[in-house]
Amino acid sequence: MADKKDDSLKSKREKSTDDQTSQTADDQSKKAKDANTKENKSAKKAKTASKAEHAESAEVVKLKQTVVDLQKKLDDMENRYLRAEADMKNIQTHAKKEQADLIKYDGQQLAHDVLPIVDNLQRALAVEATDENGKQLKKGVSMVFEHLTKALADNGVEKIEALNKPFDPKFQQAIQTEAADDEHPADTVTKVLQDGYRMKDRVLRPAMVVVAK
Amino acid sequence: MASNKIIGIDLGTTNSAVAVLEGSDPKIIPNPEGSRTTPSVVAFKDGKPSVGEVAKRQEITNPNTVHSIKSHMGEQGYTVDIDGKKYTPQQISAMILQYIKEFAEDYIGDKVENAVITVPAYFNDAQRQATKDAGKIAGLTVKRIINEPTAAALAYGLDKQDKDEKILVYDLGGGTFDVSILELGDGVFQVLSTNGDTHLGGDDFDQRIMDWLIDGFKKENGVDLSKDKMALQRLKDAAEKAKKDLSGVTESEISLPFISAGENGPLHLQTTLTRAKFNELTSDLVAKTKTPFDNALKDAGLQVSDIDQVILNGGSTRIPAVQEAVKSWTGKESNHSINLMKRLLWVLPFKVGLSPVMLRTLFYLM
Repeated sequence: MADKKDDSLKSKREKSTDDQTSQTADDQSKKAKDANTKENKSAKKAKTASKAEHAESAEVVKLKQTVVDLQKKLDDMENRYLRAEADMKNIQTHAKKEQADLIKYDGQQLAHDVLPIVDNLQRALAVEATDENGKQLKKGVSMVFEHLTKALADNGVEKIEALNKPFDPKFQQAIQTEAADDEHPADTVTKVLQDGYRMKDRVLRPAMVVVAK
Repeated sequence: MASNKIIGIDLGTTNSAVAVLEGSDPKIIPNPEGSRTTPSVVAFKDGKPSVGEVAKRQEITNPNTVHSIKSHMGEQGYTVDIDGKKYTPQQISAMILQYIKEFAEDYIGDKVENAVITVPAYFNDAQRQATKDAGKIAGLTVKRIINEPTAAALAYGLDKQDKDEKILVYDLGGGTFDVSILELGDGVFQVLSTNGDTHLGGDDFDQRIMDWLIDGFKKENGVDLSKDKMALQRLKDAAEKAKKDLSGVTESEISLPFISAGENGPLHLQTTLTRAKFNELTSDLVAKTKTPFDNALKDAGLQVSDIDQVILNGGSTRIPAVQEAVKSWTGKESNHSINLMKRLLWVLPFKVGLSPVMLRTLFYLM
């Protein structure tokens, strides 16, 4: 891995040298050619010349290939960089939005988990108290219930009003139907079996309702 | 310019989900309700469709509500009649896909054109084509249709191995059971056989707990909770919670105050369900998966001993008794080769209600 890196660095450096001194390089290659010709002249065998030429063109081919490889590598890196940058931007956007949501809907999970307890207090309050003791106890529980719902309301958790309203699946879930009557035309909520709650623009839990049909 | 992002869509029979690759992490995109899965339900009101949670909530009052359309995909001549207008399964599925596409675009902050959709391995060409068509109607280019068990195998990185292997994928979801035998050769998966039960899943396990609670309550108090819709709803939630608890602990307390009223005032339900009792209540459900399991092997022309890898998929495979059964039938640890990261992906479905299928699908494609 490290070797490869070194190699590519080296070839990069070589490349930049090539660019800057292309004129010089040309001159040099001319000189080299001249030298070659001289050599050729002095050489007794033509084979040697062709070998040298061959070696030179092989070098050129190799360099050209290096350029192609590097260009490809560069394109690839550029592509990756652009992708990473786009990804980073997206992640930042989402992180910002998520953070804003976190602040806006702070306590949503807690509220959601508290709702069944609110339900059960409500169920407890639906029980008829017969003796004085029971009535006082119920009154106390009712006060506690009020405090709890107020605490929730202060934190943006509100009950969804549903009774006798037109059925709206955005906020209500139909779990039963019953025959429509004068008081309740079709598609009106006749009973709320369990209150629904919303937090700001989100439905924490839809109201469980009976709908006239 | 449209985003070059590809979204992965798990278009399920009961629920669907969508994910996108963010950096190197697949991210499940929550729907506008904040939920990671969206009911595959479409409801029509005055000719206008609504999709997902809102559609599901009106299911019992609105006769023009369509669910489980996936089971009719590719069915020649099948249409749903809504107020005299006929819709093909492709068109209904397209409404679900369009809804998903829209909230995915909201999340990504750009238009999305490309998608990958997973389908059951047993889907034939007509069913696959219908799924593609649904994507097209929704304005999506379906880059690839991926078999669910194949995607599961990809999720475990099994394609990264040089060995050729036979893989058994045991997929027990919320409502359906699928078992598939795959063959991996040169990094390509081939489905050798597939079998299953379209009416067996986690919901049945919940129902067993509910029945047990109802029976017990009846014996003790003489009140039949199954007649009370609201009580049933609470029982269902409690049963599901107990089931999930029992994957981690051996006892779960079920406590439902004021569940009903008797002659002497309010009645409460309070009981403890042990894992042993739960196993006893559901042992036949686990055993029911054995026949499709055997048939899949038979159809693939293989013996159990030919299987190299076993993959468990679907939330219900978190149930210890299911894991033990598969282990005893195959003689293999189903997750022996899965590293910690993969394990995490494996636990995810239970947390977010989504198969790891798509997660890896996205890893794989990008």
